[in-house]
Amino acid sequence: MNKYFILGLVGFLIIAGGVSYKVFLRPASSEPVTTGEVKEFTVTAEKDEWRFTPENIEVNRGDKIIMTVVNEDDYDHGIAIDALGVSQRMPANQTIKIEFVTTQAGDFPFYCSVPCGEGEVHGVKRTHFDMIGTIKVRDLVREDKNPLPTDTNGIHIKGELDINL
Amino acid sequence: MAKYVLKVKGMHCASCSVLIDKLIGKQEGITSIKTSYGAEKTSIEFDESKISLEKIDEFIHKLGYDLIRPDEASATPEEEEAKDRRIIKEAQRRVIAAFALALPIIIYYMALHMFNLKHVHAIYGIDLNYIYWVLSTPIQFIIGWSFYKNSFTSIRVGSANMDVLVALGTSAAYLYSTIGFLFFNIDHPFWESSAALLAFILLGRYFEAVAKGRASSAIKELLKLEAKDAHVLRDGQEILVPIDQLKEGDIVVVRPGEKIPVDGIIIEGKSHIDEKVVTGESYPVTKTVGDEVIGATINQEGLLKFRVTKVGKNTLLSQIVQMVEEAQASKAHIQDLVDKISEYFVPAVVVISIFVFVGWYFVAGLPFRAGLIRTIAVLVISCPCAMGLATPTALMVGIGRATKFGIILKGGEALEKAYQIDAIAFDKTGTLTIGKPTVTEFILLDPSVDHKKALAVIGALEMGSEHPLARAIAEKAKQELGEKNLPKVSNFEAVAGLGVKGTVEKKAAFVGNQAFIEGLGMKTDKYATEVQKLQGEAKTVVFAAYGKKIIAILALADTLKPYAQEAIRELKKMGKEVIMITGDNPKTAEAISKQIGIDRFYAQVLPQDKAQLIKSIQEGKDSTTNGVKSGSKKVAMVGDGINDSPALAQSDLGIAIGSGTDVAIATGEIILVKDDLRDVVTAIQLSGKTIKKVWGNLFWAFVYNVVAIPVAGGIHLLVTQSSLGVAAPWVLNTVSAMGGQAGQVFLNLSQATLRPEIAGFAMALSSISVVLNSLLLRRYTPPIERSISVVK
Repeated sequence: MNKYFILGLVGFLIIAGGVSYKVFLRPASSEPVTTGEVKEFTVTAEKDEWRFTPENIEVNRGDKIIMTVVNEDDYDHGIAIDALGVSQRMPANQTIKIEFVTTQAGDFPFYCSVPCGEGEVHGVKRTHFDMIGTIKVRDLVREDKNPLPTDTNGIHIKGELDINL
Repeated sequence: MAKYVLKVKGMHCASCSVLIDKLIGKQEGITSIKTSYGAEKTSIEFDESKISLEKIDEFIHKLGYDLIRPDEASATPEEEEAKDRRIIKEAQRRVIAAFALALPIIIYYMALHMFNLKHVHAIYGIDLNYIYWVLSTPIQFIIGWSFYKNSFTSIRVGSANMDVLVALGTSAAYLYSTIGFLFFNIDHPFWESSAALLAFILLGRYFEAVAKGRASSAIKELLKLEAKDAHVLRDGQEILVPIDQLKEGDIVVVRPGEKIPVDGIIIEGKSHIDEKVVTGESYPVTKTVGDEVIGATINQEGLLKFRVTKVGKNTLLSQIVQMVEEAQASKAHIQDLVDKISEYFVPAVVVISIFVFVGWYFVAGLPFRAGLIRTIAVLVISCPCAMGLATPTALMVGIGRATKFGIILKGGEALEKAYQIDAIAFDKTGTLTIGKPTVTEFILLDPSVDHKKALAVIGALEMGSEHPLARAIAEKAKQELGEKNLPKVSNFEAVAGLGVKGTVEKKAAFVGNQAFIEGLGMKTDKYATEVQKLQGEAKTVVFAAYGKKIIAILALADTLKPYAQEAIRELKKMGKEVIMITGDNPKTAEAISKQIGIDRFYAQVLPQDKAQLIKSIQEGKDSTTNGVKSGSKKVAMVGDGINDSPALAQSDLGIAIGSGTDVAIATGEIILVKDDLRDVVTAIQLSGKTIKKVWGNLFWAFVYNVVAIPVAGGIHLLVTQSSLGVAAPWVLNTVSAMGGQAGQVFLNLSQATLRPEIAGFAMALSSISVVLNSLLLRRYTPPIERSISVVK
């Protein structure tokens, strides 16, 4: 039998498996949560500091986050949160706005994803690799033991990719 | 039933031949079809009542290839050579163009990642990404279009070769970067991945084109041998006609020094004919009325008239051409190791990438884009540019190394398969032996004549003869005594078929066979035991008489080449089966094989049957197995004559002796320039080394992928995190155990996934490691060579 036919079949089975897991088996605690609550933050990469300020952000699960990200440097930075699919460029001396929904609980690092060099800040050497912060998403749903109705579509790309330069 | 071996043009990858075989083979009336990508030929057998050649041509044309029918003018050897050069030139142009466009991107991103520079994405207000986009687009779709074309063909035949992987990975990288940059302001488009990857693989392909020799040159050489025209007697008049106008029954005149144009039977004249080019027989054969002559052989002395018996396709030469062509066309092109791996790797990668997406999106319930980025990272990482370099670089170095030892490799393929050989068949005359008789024994019989005197008399006498045995004896005398010290001979006379006589220093001297001497009234009975012993060793015995007394017996035989024994011993030690194939009589064959240590030989094999014999050995169906199939074998053939050519082409590995005929050299895939059989051993050993190197390269190319794919897909997080974004207890324990900076690094690494741009950068490093690894092969010295240098 044609290899690609088998491959297509296997691919289809995996996707079908994933979809049926989502529909029938996924525990309620793993469902993406959207509460509709909006939280706004401003995160700044201060000039030649190789640091995001603030470095720690706490939000609730299901919050819609509108993050204003300011780059004060003359060179590019980037901001990425792997788990939430955020991966945006921060052009030099510009401000961008990103929006996403923290549908899952956990500690998610946000970090600079564009090589941006290194330098000495108040006698301490800092580099691109030090530009890490954490978004702590508290799981109110689990603590409440009273899960909110969830969006069964589970797709939340809408709005996440809206960028205003 | 009709059978053709035809040229097919336009095949661009190994899958093309599979496609042709598969789709044409399905047509009604086609009995068998075998297409070879390497030789650009297809061998078709079909029922003419059901399908015509024109129809087949039409089908093949529809697939996008061009079948050259016999009625269409085929390219001349010069055109073929020019085409080969053009292909290499084109590959070179592609590499140059690709690197010209890719270098700015590669340098920028390399410097950025290696030195962690500040990313300046814009100069004078122009976003550099636009420039990179403009530079990488032509690489992806124009210069690299062949990858799409080849993978499309590959997919059509249901196989997954390396090109599929390349197309998949680079497209993922290119499209992610382009769409992301143009529409989504992604942080880090990674133009360098697709550009560098394609440039490196094209470089690999260029190496491949250079290293790949064309087997088709054999045919060109064969056809060059044919005489262009012939002197024909028509109505009593001698006229010059091109040989394609010759007809059976024509009477052809051949002058001394001319080539015999076609096959025939002598009707007038007598001559020595040099048949070396066809039969491999090293000394001229005496032929007279009633004997057959073969086209392309050279008439040395007399004027000959012969009646044409075979013309055109029926001559022995044409038949040999046909056999070589058929053998080459039916030979399976060795599949690239990389393609073999890709057959499994491609589906695995596709499955993993789907799995990763499903895992993140459906199972973990993360946003669509989080799943997408990781899926793309998996696809990009799965496409290692080092893979395209792994085989060609090792082969290039291997071929270069072999050349240093006097082993010319026609192409990388020879190197790829030499180590797999199970059995090696040697031609006898000219390959294992020198192909010329030499004096092996010189037995003095008369105490009053010493060695020097005897040799002087015999040598002086034999100087006058053209007979190959006489030449060998004269040679020995010249070597030992010097030509000037040989006495004068008067009344010289050669007695055909018996010997020579003359007067040396006023006494009659005779040299000849037993019958000759007996005829002169001298008794040879008392030497019967010696003679028998020598003849038992397949030696030719010659008597010499001087002054009415027998003074010496000389034995002549074709002697082994230097180091032949060592080579055979070494091959047997390596566990290879050694076979001798010869056209000579069984007695001689046995004597030689005993002397050299070969336990299996085939004697009296006609030139036409050699290829068939090789085939039966390959299939394990030859006579020695008593009809029991011993399983298929990979058989190498070592030979030197035109008569060996079909066998060289049929064998899995044709090895030609450098001193052999042009045709053998053209047909063989390996040529031993030094005429030293130990190089067969070296070639096999070097092949083994090179293949090990290729595997080593593939390991370096792949190990990174195997590690990186799960990391890119975030699969490792299943182990390193207890729940989303929370490090697993064992990770935290390890971190505190490691403490400080190291612990922090471990924590960061264990919790992060590999981003595609970092993966793309790491690819270049794996390419460099592969190239360096290949260069290490240059230090290889074959054990045999080493032992010689120690002895010296």
